[in-house]
Amino acid sequence: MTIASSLNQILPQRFLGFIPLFIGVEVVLGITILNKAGGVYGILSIITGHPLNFWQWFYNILAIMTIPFYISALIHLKDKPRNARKLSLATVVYVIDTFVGFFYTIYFIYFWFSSEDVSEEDLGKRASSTNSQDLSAQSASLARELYVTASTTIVVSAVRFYFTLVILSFTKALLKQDASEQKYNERTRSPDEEDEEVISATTGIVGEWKKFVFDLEIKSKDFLVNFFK
Amino acid sequence: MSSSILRSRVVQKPYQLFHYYFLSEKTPNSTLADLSFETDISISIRKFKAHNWTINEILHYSFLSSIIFFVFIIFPASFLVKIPILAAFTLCFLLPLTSQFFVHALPIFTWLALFFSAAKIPTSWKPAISVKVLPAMETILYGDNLSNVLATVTTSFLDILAWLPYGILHFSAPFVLALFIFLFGPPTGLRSFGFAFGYMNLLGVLTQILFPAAAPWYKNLYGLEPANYSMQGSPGGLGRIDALLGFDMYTTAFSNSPLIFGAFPSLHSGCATMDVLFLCWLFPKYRVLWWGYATWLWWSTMYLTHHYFIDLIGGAVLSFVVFQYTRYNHLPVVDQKCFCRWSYIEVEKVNIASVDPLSSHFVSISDIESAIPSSSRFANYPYFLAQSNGTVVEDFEMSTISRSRQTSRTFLTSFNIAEQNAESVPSNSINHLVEEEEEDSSSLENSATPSVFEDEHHQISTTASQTSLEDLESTGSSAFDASKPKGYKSR
Repeated sequence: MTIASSLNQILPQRFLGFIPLFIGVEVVLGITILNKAGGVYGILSIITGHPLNFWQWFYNILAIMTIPFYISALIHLKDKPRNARKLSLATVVYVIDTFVGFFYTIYFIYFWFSSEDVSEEDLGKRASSTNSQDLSAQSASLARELYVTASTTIVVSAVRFYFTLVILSFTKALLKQDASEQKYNERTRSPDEEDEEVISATTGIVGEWKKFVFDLEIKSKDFLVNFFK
Repeated sequence: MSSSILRSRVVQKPYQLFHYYFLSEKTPNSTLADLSFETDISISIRKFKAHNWTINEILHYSFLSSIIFFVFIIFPASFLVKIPILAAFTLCFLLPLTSQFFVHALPIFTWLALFFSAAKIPTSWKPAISVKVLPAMETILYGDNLSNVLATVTTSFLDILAWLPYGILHFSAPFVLALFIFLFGPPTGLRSFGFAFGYMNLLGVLTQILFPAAAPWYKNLYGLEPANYSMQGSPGGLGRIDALLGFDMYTTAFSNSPLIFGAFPSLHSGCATMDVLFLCWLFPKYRVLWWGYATWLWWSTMYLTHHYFIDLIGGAVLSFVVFQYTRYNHLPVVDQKCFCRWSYIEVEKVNIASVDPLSSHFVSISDIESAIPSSSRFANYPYFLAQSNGTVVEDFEMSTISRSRQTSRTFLTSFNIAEQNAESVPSNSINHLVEEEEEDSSSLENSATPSVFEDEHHQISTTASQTSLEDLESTGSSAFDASKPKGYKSR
């Protein structure tokens, strides 16, 4: 309860202060899907034989797993009343993804500076390459590169946090609207129940997958409805 | 002389075909799709004087002209050469015949001018080159150096596979796409493409100049050693293509590239993403195919060691954001019932309130992805249920009636006649039906409606619609007395 009420204080009502939230969510989901494509290319190391450790594998697999949920949410963004549950699932996935992402960012910072970065030798090389003072001035100094890397990491993390707030805010408004529309709708069954009937009639692997996803969507919708109450 | 050329078969046959497939779509009084063939400069000057300038337009033109002025100053050629070039350009902007294209392609010209003169910017003005930021950011954000992952193994087959999108399609696709947008898109669609494509590239090149960074091939050649502006570029993996084909197609070009340290953002990725976004706008039915092209190009860019993955995402995100801006501010709505440019009798832009799911003005769109044949779909169409008193009026095939806007108009008027004859037809609901039909087309997503490629079908359905219209008129209300609800969107 306390988390939800303090969240209310910071949830943006418009994207960047002046753009309708749904455009913000389109941008957020689009950018996220593009970023998650990295998992697909990372996993290609099975074929190329480039060494990856367990945590890198896990990261790539997680990225690939989230893509379908984001794509589904983006496609159904304007598809009422189904968008409420699609967006609910995407929001839950996004929030978890943000938390996991922060830990991974910290791990990968450690990974880069411990194994990939060659700063000691590099520093020596840069110091020794004084053959031409003019030319070396054209290359960014080690401190500058470190500064740019660190500040970009912080900015990207901040943007990611803001994106999480945007999608949370949108889903909250959507669920609220969905609830009020249900209230004024005189039909005995909700659209979700009708969709469930259709989905449960499908068979095969596709049917099982659809049932599983539908179950997840309803669960995350219920969870978020309770959370925002 | 010239008339005999015009009458010759070589000219006549293509014109007849063009007329048959495209111009015949035109509504007689519509001038919407017409081009200007005027060559009188005074028309442009009068237009210019009468124009009401918005703040956005002032910002747009002053930004672009300041960049052109910068290029004009720094380009190391005599003013005797530069001034005539500028004058020729100005003339193209003044002639109505050429200005209808040139004005809207101004962002593209500005980008090209800046890109090709980037090497002429004095070295002392340029910021210091980053060598380590991109690989570091790539590892921090994506877990590894993905370009390294993909370039570990190289074979001639993969070289060719990578070269096709990177070295061939990338350069030709925008031209083909521009032609498609002109022919099959709504009028003014091409302007939006020029705007989005030009600004994306321009912002990309500005970023590359202000944040110079080395590409993966640099790390492969020099490690993480400091870079300087006297270094030559490298064709990266495209060098292998030159070796394979036996002639110098890329090595010289890339070695003397104007922007050697322009790794971030990748404009290969930016252009491909922009192509894909516009193709999805124009032909949404094939969007999986279009995105397949983008993923193919991304792979080839990393395989050829031209960019880090973060550069690709930088380019794609830049493209996506510029596209979203264009889409909600400039881009006309594609009407899937219209076959080509000449089928349109009006151009609509996206009405943001009607596509905002949170807004009370939201107009629901039918969902084609999952065609659930359930009565629940009618929850989306409150007008039907509220005003037809239980009689649902969607039991006729929309697809046989209107494929183009023109026929949908006649459809509406003939309905009004039918209404007068048969009073049992609920008139409100029919009008709403047509209204919704039109509003539906304002959505850019979810349009698995027939593609414009199916032109033969189009011809057939237009003729078929004549008979079904007559049927409707003669049978009056009996056609609408449907008791069983059926899918509204039967297209």
